[in-house]
Amino acid sequence: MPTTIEIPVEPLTAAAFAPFGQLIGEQDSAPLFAAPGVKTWGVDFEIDGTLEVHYARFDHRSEMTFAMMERHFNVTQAFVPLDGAPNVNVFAAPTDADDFSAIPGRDAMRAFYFDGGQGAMMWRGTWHSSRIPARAPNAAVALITAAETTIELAEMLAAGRYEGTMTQVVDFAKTFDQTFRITDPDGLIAA
Amino acid sequence: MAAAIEIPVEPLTEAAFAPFGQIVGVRDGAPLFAAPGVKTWGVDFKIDGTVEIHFARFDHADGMAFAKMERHFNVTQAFLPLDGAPSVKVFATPTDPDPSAIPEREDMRAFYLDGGRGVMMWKGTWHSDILPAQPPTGAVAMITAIETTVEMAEMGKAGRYDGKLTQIVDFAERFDQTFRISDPNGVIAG
Repeated sequence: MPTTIEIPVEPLTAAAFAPFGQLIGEQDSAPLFAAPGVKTWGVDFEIDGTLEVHYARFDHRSEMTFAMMERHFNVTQAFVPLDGAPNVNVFAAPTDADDFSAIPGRDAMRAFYFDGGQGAMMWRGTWHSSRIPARAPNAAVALITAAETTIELAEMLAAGRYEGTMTQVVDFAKTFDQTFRITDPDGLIAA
Repeated sequence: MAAAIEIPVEPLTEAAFAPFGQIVGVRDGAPLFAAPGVKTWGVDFKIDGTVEIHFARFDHADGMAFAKMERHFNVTQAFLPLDGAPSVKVFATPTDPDPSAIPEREDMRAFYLDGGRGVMMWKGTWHSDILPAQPPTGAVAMITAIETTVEMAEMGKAGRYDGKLTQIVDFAERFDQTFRISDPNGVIAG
């Protein structure tokens, strides 16, 4: 029976998120684009490959748990919550890209609460959990990624492989007999 | 000053939207990607240029009125609603690239975006701004091309309407026309 490790969820701020990526939200700086009635702010998206936009629907589970994290080397993957659906995502800062054994420990993991009003773009190599919906039955996000990453990940899953050229997946349950559970000691998650 | 021309808002369905683009939502057909706990569906995004992601905040206007439409030739621009914020956006199908090929009122369709799904437009699809259905503002994430943003900023500064990547039409200035959204069927959530 794996050990369950608790990770408390934190508020999402641009400063707190900086080691992991950038927020798709209003920023302190001057707008990237402005015209009457509209202002926009950008992020530093990068991709080696072909842009792909997904609508992704993640199932809610009775406990906000996860056992897998992954990192992508070829794209600053981004996700945008739809329907204002709140969710939690766990991140760890990029580790050595050339070393599959450079796996984040519990102390490197941070859980952030996404209230549905902002998206996030992750640096290349940022470790991340799947989206963890805060409410039943599911949460939808738009996912901005590379077509090559999706194809390789599907092949890896079908073959039971964890180490690809564009993505590394770690199953903590299998490798370390660990699973993780999100806790909310400060009551951040809206009822 | 002519009275605003009313455009009734319609529900967004895949079939109704097909002439203008694709919906970023659950689609008919097998998922593009599936793993335990997640299923995804894709759209046919195309770009000649460099991808740019914006967070864009649009002001709500009384009567959801607009006077401008634009089209982009180099990217299948996409809009993803944040905060679940509902909005309306008006579209017309791509016309000949000739700058004089401007859509008429009969070509314009207003769709209600309920905040749960995004939309991706074909290259050349004419579109209004996002028209937030509720005050004070509506936010979306927008996927576009850097080159498009840069040229549009230059066009805005120079008061130019016909760019290489984008054409803008100001119906008020050219035709003394403005448009407003009407909701005869109560499509917009209360």
